[in-house]
Amino acid sequence: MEKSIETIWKEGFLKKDALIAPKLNDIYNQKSMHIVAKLKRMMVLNVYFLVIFAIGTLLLNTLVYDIPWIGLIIALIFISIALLAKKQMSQIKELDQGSTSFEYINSFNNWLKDVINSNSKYMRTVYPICFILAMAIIWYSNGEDALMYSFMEEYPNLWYEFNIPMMPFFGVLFVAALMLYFGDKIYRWDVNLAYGRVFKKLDSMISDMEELRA
Amino acid sequence: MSTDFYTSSILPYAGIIIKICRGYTNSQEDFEDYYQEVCLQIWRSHQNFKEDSEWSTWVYRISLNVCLTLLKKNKTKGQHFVSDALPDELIEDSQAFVDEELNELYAAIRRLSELDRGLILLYLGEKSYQEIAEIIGTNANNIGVRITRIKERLKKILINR
Repeated sequence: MEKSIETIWKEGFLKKDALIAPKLNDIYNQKSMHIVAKLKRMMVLNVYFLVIFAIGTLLLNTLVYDIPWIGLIIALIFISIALLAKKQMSQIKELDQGSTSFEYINSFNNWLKDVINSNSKYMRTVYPICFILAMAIIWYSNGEDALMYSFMEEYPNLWYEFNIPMMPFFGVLFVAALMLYFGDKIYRWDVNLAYGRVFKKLDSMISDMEELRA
Repeated sequence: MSTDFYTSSILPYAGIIIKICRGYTNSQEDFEDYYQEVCLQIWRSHQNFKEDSEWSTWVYRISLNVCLTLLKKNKTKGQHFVSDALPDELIEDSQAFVDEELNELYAAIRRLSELDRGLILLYLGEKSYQEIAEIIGTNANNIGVRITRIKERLKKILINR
């Protein structure tokens, strides 16, 4: 090789058309498609996770903890959430894909906000119910070795109704009431934990596009 | 991104972006994606430019950071990426430039590690060792030795082709 790399570099870039900048086009279209596809994938995964969790809980509570009725209730709750999510996802197809990137991404964002708002109403009741059911699992699981029997033996003088100690029960109800009260915040925190980064990207893309249109 | 900003602050420096992006991509499609992403990132972050260095240095820094980030993203997605282990057809974008020798030089550069690619591109862009160290975020003392080694490696690759 005769030429140095510096010479190859300099001479190469001296030639005509060596540095033609590509046109900046379609960037937001590509990005909006990418971000919507990513969110859709995450939502589909979430639905699968909910179904697997529902089946797992049912099996665990039936085969291991010997409390199939609690497993069934939890499974039904999670299956209903999965079905609701699936139904909501089918609405994405109704968004106008023929519109501009800005309109499409905005309508997607609005759809997302609507979904989160309507889910928060539903989910705020789910959290306390799941909490009570979790406490019930601790109380009733393991058949004859259940915590219920050892607790009643240890504290026979407490106030019981249907084999439930009422004072701890009120404590559980109080926490459940708090969860109901703060359910909206818990749900939004929960959603943000899973989708927060994508939401931020979506918001930043919309504000970029708005600035472009200004 | 406003047209004004693109015309006044990016287009005059497009050569820098093109030179860097070509070093990290092996197809026209990837190159255009990287180029657009760099431009967008320059526009987004131009308010952070503190004028304690030249605008061109800032453009170099953003270009390198964006290319490295996109390369990492592609790696985690399992898309093809350039490494010594890959065959020539994956590291060549033989129609990128009119000059055949320049295309070969770029193909050789794409064989280097990510950091070495950045160093040599900055060196060929006539940045001083001090500026290179500032852009990369390292010590200037060893830059010269490292670049000499990279140049030797490039020569070997070019001779063996």
